[in-house]
Amino acid sequence: MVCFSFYSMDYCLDEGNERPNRRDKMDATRLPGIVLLTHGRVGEEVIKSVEMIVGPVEQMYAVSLMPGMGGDEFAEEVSHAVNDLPAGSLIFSDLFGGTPANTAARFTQDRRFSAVAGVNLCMVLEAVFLRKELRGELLAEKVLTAGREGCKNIVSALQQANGQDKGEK
Amino acid sequence: MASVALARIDSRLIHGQVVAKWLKSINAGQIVVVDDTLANDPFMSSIYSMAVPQGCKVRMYTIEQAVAEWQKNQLGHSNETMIMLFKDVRTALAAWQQGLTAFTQLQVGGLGGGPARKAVYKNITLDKKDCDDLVLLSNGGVQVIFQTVPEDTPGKLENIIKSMNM
Repeated sequence: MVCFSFYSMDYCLDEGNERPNRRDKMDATRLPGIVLLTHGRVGEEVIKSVEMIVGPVEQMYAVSLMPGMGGDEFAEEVSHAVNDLPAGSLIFSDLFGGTPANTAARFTQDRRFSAVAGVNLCMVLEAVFLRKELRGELLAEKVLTAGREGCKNIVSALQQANGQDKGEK
Repeated sequence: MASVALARIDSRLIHGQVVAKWLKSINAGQIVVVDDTLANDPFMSSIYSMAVPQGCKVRMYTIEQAVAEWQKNQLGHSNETMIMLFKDVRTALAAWQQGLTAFTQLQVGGLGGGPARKAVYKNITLDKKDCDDLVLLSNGGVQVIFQTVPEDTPGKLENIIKSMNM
Protein backbone atom coordinates (compact mmCIF):
# COMPACT_ATOMS: atom_id res chain seq x y z
CA MET A 1 0.00 0.00 0.00
CA VAL A 2 1.28 3.41 -0.93
CA CYS A 3 -0.18 6.20 1.15
CA PHE A 4 0.71 9.86 1.05
CA SER A 5 -0.74 13.24 1.75
CA PHE A 6 -0.93 15.95 -0.86
CA TYR A 7 -1.79 19.06 1.11
CA SER A 8 -5.11 18.33 2.70
CA MET A 9 -6.07 15.63 0.24
CA ASP A 10 -5.09 12.10 1.01
CA TYR A 11 -4.43 9.63 -1.69
CA CYS A 12 -4.29 5.98 -0.95
CA LEU A 13 -3.32 3.40 -3.47
CA ASP A 14 -4.49 0.29 -1.78
CA GLU A 15 -5.40 -2.60 -3.98
CA GLY A 16 -8.65 -4.21 -2.96
CA ASN A 17 -9.42 -1.57 -0.35
CA GLU A 18 -10.37 1.52 -2.28
CA ARG A 19 -12.15 4.37 -0.56
CA PRO A 20 -14.23 6.24 -3.12
CA ASN A 21 -14.36 9.40 -1.05
CA ARG A 22 -12.32 12.03 -2.89
CA ARG A 23 -12.87 14.07 -6.01
CA ASP A 24 -9.40 13.15 -7.16
CA LYS A 25 -9.59 9.55 -6.09
CA MET A 26 -9.42 8.36 -9.68
CA ASP A 27 -6.44 10.61 -10.31
CA ALA A 28 -4.42 8.80 -7.71
CA THR A 29 -4.13 5.83 -10.01
CA ARG A 30 -3.06 7.88 -13.04
CA LEU A 31 0.58 8.68 -13.70
CA PRO A 32 1.26 12.29 -12.60
CA GLY A 33 2.12 14.57 -15.50
CA ILE A 34 5.32 16.58 -15.87
CA VAL A 35 5.09 20.05 -17.40
CA LEU A 36 8.02 22.37 -18.09
CA LEU A 37 7.51 26.14 -18.31
CA THR A 38 10.54 28.11 -19.45
CA HIS A 39 11.83 31.34 -20.98
CA GLY A 40 12.34 30.24 -24.59
CA ARG A 41 12.57 26.62 -25.65
CA VAL A 42 14.68 25.25 -22.78
CA GLY A 43 11.79 23.07 -21.63
CA GLU A 44 11.25 21.54 -25.07
CA GLU A 45 14.94 20.76 -25.28
CA VAL A 46 15.06 19.31 -21.76
CA ILE A 47 12.36 16.86 -22.84
CA LYS A 48 14.48 15.84 -25.84
CA SER A 49 17.52 15.42 -23.59
CA VAL A 50 15.57 13.33 -21.07
CA GLU A 51 14.29 11.12 -23.87
CA MET A 52 17.82 10.83 -25.24
CA ILE A 53 18.83 9.36 -21.88
CA VAL A 54 15.84 7.20 -20.93
CA GLY A 55 13.87 6.82 -24.17
CA PRO A 56 10.31 8.00 -24.88
CA VAL A 57 8.46 9.38 -21.85
CA GLU A 58 4.67 9.73 -21.63
CA GLN A 59 2.71 12.55 -19.95
CA MET A 60 5.54 15.10 -20.25
CA TYR A 61 4.93 18.47 -21.89
CA ALA A 62 6.66 21.83 -22.33
CA VAL A 63 5.20 25.29 -22.82
CA SER A 64 7.70 27.88 -23.99
CA LEU A 65 7.38 31.57 -23.20
CA MET A 66 8.57 33.27 -26.38
CA PRO A 67 9.66 36.90 -26.91
CA GLY A 68 6.69 39.19 -27.39
CA MET A 69 4.23 36.75 -25.83
CA GLY A 70 1.87 38.26 -23.25
CA GLY A 71 1.56 36.75 -19.78
CA ASP A 72 -2.12 35.95 -20.30
CA GLU A 73 -1.47 34.29 -23.63
CA PHE A 74 1.20 32.13 -21.98
CA ALA A 75 -1.11 31.25 -19.06
CA GLU A 76 -3.77 30.23 -21.59
CA GLU A 77 -1.36 27.81 -23.27
CA VAL A 78 -0.29 26.41 -19.90
CA SER A 79 -3.91 25.93 -18.99
CA HIS A 80 -4.43 23.78 -22.11
CA ALA A 81 -1.35 21.73 -21.24
CA VAL A 82 -2.31 20.99 -17.63
CA ASN A 83 -6.10 20.76 -17.83
CA ASP A 84 -6.37 17.01 -18.27
CA LEU A 85 -3.48 16.06 -16.00
CA PRO A 86 -4.24 14.19 -12.79
CA ALA A 87 -3.94 15.76 -9.36
CA GLY A 88 -0.42 15.56 -7.99
CA SER A 89 1.19 16.41 -11.33
CA LEU A 90 4.36 18.51 -11.17
CA ILE A 91 5.02 21.79 -12.96
CA PHE A 92 8.67 22.75 -13.47
CA SER A 93 9.78 26.31 -14.20
CA ASP A 94 13.14 27.95 -14.72
CA LEU A 95 13.72 31.14 -12.72
CA PHE A 96 11.95 31.67 -9.42
CA GLY A 97 10.09 34.96 -9.73
CA GLY A 98 10.04 34.90 -13.51
CA THR A 99 6.84 34.74 -15.55
CA PRO A 100 6.97 30.94 -16.10
CA ALA A 101 7.31 30.38 -12.33
CA ASN A 102 4.63 32.97 -11.54
CA THR A 103 2.34 31.25 -14.03
CA ALA A 104 3.10 27.86 -12.46
CA ALA A 105 2.15 29.34 -9.10
CA ARG A 106 -1.31 30.22 -10.41
CA PHE A 107 -2.01 26.56 -11.05
CA THR A 108 -1.23 25.55 -7.47
CA GLN A 109 -4.06 27.58 -6.00
CA ASP A 110 -6.58 24.74 -5.86
CA ARG A 111 -3.83 22.38 -4.62
CA ARG A 112 -4.19 19.99 -7.55
CA PHE A 113 -0.65 20.56 -8.80
CA SER A 114 2.76 21.10 -7.27
CA ALA A 115 5.31 23.48 -8.75
CA VAL A 116 9.07 23.95 -8.45
CA ALA A 117 11.51 26.45 -9.94
CA GLY A 118 15.15 26.05 -10.99
CA VAL A 119 14.60 23.17 -13.38
CA ASN A 120 17.60 21.10 -14.42
CA LEU A 121 18.01 17.76 -16.13
CA CYS A 122 18.64 15.97 -12.82
CA MET A 123 15.33 17.13 -11.44
CA VAL A 124 13.31 16.08 -14.45
CA LEU A 125 14.97 12.66 -14.59
CA GLU A 126 14.25 12.19 -10.89
CA ALA A 127 10.61 13.12 -11.48
CA VAL A 128 10.33 10.69 -14.40
CA PHE A 129 11.58 7.85 -12.17
CA LEU A 130 9.84 8.76 -8.90
CA ARG A 131 6.39 9.67 -10.18
CA LYS A 132 5.51 6.01 -10.40
CA GLU A 133 5.50 5.98 -6.59
CA LEU A 134 5.14 9.57 -5.49
CA ARG A 135 3.16 12.61 -6.51
CA GLY A 136 2.36 16.13 -5.41
CA GLU A 137 4.37 17.69 -2.62
CA LEU A 138 6.31 14.55 -1.77
CA LEU A 139 7.44 14.25 -5.37
CA ALA A 140 8.30 17.97 -5.46
CA GLU A 141 10.52 17.73 -2.38
CA LYS A 142 12.43 14.69 -3.63
CA VAL A 143 12.94 16.35 -6.99
CA LEU A 144 14.31 19.52 -5.37
CA THR A 145 16.79 17.50 -3.36
CA ALA A 146 17.95 15.70 -6.50
CA GLY A 147 18.33 19.01 -8.29
CA ARG A 148 20.47 20.50 -5.53
CA GLU A 149 22.63 17.42 -5.22
CA GLY A 150 23.12 17.33 -8.97
CA CYS A 151 24.98 20.66 -8.91
CA LYS A 152 28.67 20.06 -8.24
CA ASN A 153 31.96 21.85 -8.61
CA ILE A 154 33.80 19.23 -10.64
CA VAL A 155 37.26 20.50 -9.74
CA SER A 156 36.45 20.29 -6.02
CA ALA A 157 34.91 16.87 -6.52
CA LEU A 158 38.08 15.67 -8.29
CA GLN A 159 40.30 17.12 -5.57
CA GLN A 160 38.17 15.47 -2.94
CA ALA A 161 38.35 12.16 -4.78
CA ASN A 162 42.15 12.44 -5.09
CA GLY A 163 42.51 13.46 -1.46
CA GLN A 164 40.51 10.45 -0.39
CA ASP A 165 42.68 8.16 -2.52
CA LYS A 166 45.85 9.50 -0.89
CA GLY A 167 44.32 9.27 2.55
CA GLU A 168 43.52 5.64 2.01
CA LYS A 169 47.05 4.75 0.93
CA MET B 1 7.66 61.72 1.28
CA ALA B 2 8.60 58.64 -0.62
CA SER B 3 9.95 59.26 -4.06
CA VAL B 4 8.94 57.32 -7.15
CA ALA B 5 12.27 56.68 -8.84
CA LEU B 6 10.71 54.61 -11.59
CA ALA B 7 7.14 54.48 -12.90
CA ARG B 8 6.81 51.62 -15.38
CA ILE B 9 4.17 50.00 -17.54
CA ASP B 10 4.79 46.26 -17.75
CA SER B 11 2.12 43.66 -18.46
CA ARG B 12 4.05 41.12 -16.41
CA LEU B 13 4.29 43.53 -13.45
CA ILE B 14 6.87 42.06 -11.03
CA HIS B 15 9.09 39.57 -12.87
CA GLY B 16 12.77 38.82 -13.54
CA GLN B 17 13.65 42.02 -15.38
CA VAL B 18 12.06 44.23 -12.75
CA VAL B 19 13.50 42.35 -9.78
CA ALA B 20 16.95 41.51 -11.15
CA LYS B 21 17.64 44.72 -13.06
CA TRP B 22 15.61 47.70 -11.98
CA LEU B 23 15.34 47.02 -8.27
CA LYS B 24 19.13 46.90 -8.06
CA SER B 25 19.91 49.68 -10.49
CA ILE B 26 17.79 52.24 -8.65
CA ASN B 27 18.20 50.62 -5.23
CA ALA B 28 14.48 50.68 -4.55
CA GLY B 29 13.13 49.77 -1.13
CA GLN B 30 9.52 49.50 -2.19
CA ILE B 31 7.36 48.40 -5.09
CA VAL B 32 3.88 49.80 -5.50
CA VAL B 33 1.64 47.99 -7.95
CA VAL B 34 -1.43 49.88 -9.10
CA ASP B 35 -3.95 47.40 -10.46
CA ASP B 36 -7.62 46.98 -9.62
CA THR B 37 -7.73 43.24 -10.29
CA LEU B 38 -4.57 42.36 -8.41
CA ALA B 39 -5.37 44.53 -5.39
CA ASN B 40 -8.53 42.46 -4.96
CA ASP B 41 -6.83 39.08 -5.43
CA PRO B 42 -4.76 38.05 -2.39
CA PHE B 43 -3.51 34.83 -4.00
CA MET B 44 -2.19 36.51 -7.15
CA SER B 45 -0.75 39.30 -4.99
CA SER B 46 1.19 36.74 -3.00
CA ILE B 47 2.56 35.19 -6.22
CA TYR B 48 3.93 38.55 -7.32
CA SER B 49 5.32 39.31 -3.87
CA MET B 50 7.07 35.97 -3.28
CA ALA B 51 10.10 36.61 -5.47
CA VAL B 52 10.86 40.11 -4.26
CA PRO B 53 14.00 40.15 -2.06
CA GLN B 54 13.43 40.39 1.67
CA GLY B 55 13.59 43.96 2.86
CA CYS B 56 11.80 45.28 -0.20
CA LYS B 57 8.19 46.09 0.59
CA VAL B 58 5.44 45.42 -1.92
CA ARG B 59 2.09 47.18 -1.84
CA MET B 60 -0.84 46.44 -4.11
CA TYR B 61 -3.37 49.22 -4.59
CA THR B 62 -6.45 49.76 -6.67
CA ILE B 63 -6.33 52.97 -8.69
CA GLU B 64 -8.66 54.57 -6.17
CA GLN B 65 -6.51 53.51 -3.19
CA ALA B 66 -3.30 54.68 -4.86
CA VAL B 67 -4.78 58.09 -5.62
CA ALA B 68 -6.05 58.39 -2.04
CA GLU B 69 -2.66 57.37 -0.55
CA TRP B 70 -0.84 59.79 -2.82
CA GLN B 71 -3.13 62.67 -1.94
CA LYS B 72 -3.07 61.81 1.78
CA ASN B 73 0.69 61.71 2.33
CA GLN B 74 2.32 61.04 -1.03
CA LEU B 75 2.35 57.28 -0.47
CA GLY B 76 3.83 57.36 3.01
CA HIS B 77 6.51 59.02 5.05
CA SER B 78 9.35 56.63 4.33
CA ASN B 79 12.37 58.01 2.50
CA GLU B 80 12.81 54.85 0.49
CA THR B 81 12.88 55.07 -3.25
CA MET B 82 10.00 53.34 -4.95
CA ILE B 83 9.12 51.56 -8.17
CA MET B 84 5.54 52.05 -9.34
CA LEU B 85 4.10 49.48 -11.73
CA PHE B 86 1.07 49.45 -14.00
CA LYS B 87 -0.07 46.46 -16.08
CA ASP B 88 -1.19 48.53 -19.06
CA VAL B 89 -1.31 52.02 -20.51
CA ARG B 90 -5.02 52.39 -19.74
CA THR B 91 -4.41 51.91 -15.99
CA ALA B 92 -1.50 54.37 -15.91
CA LEU B 93 -3.55 57.02 -17.69
CA ALA B 94 -6.63 56.46 -15.50
CA ALA B 95 -4.55 56.72 -12.31
CA TRP B 96 -2.80 59.85 -13.52
CA GLN B 97 -6.06 61.49 -14.61
CA GLN B 98 -7.60 60.71 -11.24
CA GLY B 99 -4.76 62.48 -9.46
CA LEU B 100 -1.90 60.00 -9.06
CA THR B 101 0.64 62.59 -10.18
CA ALA B 102 3.48 60.72 -8.52
CA PHE B 103 5.65 60.60 -11.64
CA THR B 104 6.94 63.04 -14.24
CA GLN B 105 8.50 60.29 -16.33
CA LEU B 106 6.75 57.08 -17.36
CA GLN B 107 8.65 54.11 -18.72
CA VAL B 108 6.93 51.71 -21.10
CA GLY B 109 8.89 48.57 -20.25
CA GLY B 110 6.92 45.57 -21.45
CA LEU B 111 3.63 45.07 -23.29
CA GLY B 112 2.99 41.65 -24.82
CA GLY B 113 1.68 40.91 -28.30
CA GLY B 114 -1.93 40.49 -29.38
CA PRO B 115 -4.32 41.19 -32.23
CA ALA B 116 -3.99 44.71 -33.70
CA ARG B 117 -0.84 45.30 -31.66
CA LYS B 118 2.36 46.38 -33.33
CA ALA B 119 5.91 45.88 -32.02
CA VAL B 120 7.43 49.34 -31.65
CA TYR B 121 10.49 48.92 -29.47
CA LYS B 122 12.16 45.54 -28.91
CA ASN B 123 9.24 43.32 -27.86
CA ILE B 124 7.03 46.15 -26.64
CA THR B 125 3.77 46.38 -28.58
CA LEU B 126 1.18 49.15 -28.79
CA ASP B 127 -2.26 49.44 -30.32
CA LYS B 128 -3.96 52.65 -31.47
CA LYS B 129 -5.64 53.21 -28.09
CA ASP B 130 -2.30 52.83 -26.22
CA CYS B 131 -0.78 55.36 -28.58
CA ASP B 132 -3.56 57.88 -28.00
CA ASP B 133 -3.37 57.37 -24.22
CA LEU B 134 0.40 57.87 -24.16
CA VAL B 135 0.03 61.08 -26.19
CA LEU B 136 -2.51 62.31 -23.61
CA LEU B 137 0.03 61.66 -20.83
CA SER B 138 2.77 63.29 -22.83
CA ASN B 139 0.67 66.37 -23.58
CA GLY B 140 -0.07 66.56 -19.86
CA GLY B 141 3.62 66.92 -19.11
CA VAL B 142 4.66 63.30 -18.46
CA GLN B 143 7.81 62.29 -20.30
CA VAL B 144 7.07 58.91 -21.90
CA ILE B 145 10.04 56.67 -22.69
CA PHE B 146 10.45 53.10 -23.96
CA GLN B 147 13.02 50.96 -22.19
CA THR B 148 13.01 47.31 -21.15
CA VAL B 149 16.27 47.04 -19.15
CA PRO B 150 18.69 49.67 -17.78
CA GLU B 151 21.20 48.85 -20.55
CA ASP B 152 18.77 49.98 -23.27
CA THR B 153 18.98 53.43 -24.83
CA PRO B 154 15.52 54.80 -24.07
CA GLY B 155 13.20 55.27 -27.06
CA LYS B 156 11.25 58.51 -27.39
CA LEU B 157 7.49 58.61 -27.81
CA GLU B 158 7.55 60.91 -30.86
CA ASN B 159 9.85 58.53 -32.75
CA ILE B 160 7.74 55.53 -31.74
CA ILE B 161 4.57 57.22 -32.97
CA LYS B 162 6.19 58.03 -36.31
CA SER B 163 7.14 54.37 -36.65
CA MET B 164 3.59 53.27 -35.81
CA ASN B 165 2.23 55.07 -38.90
CA MET B 166 -1.16 55.56 -37.30
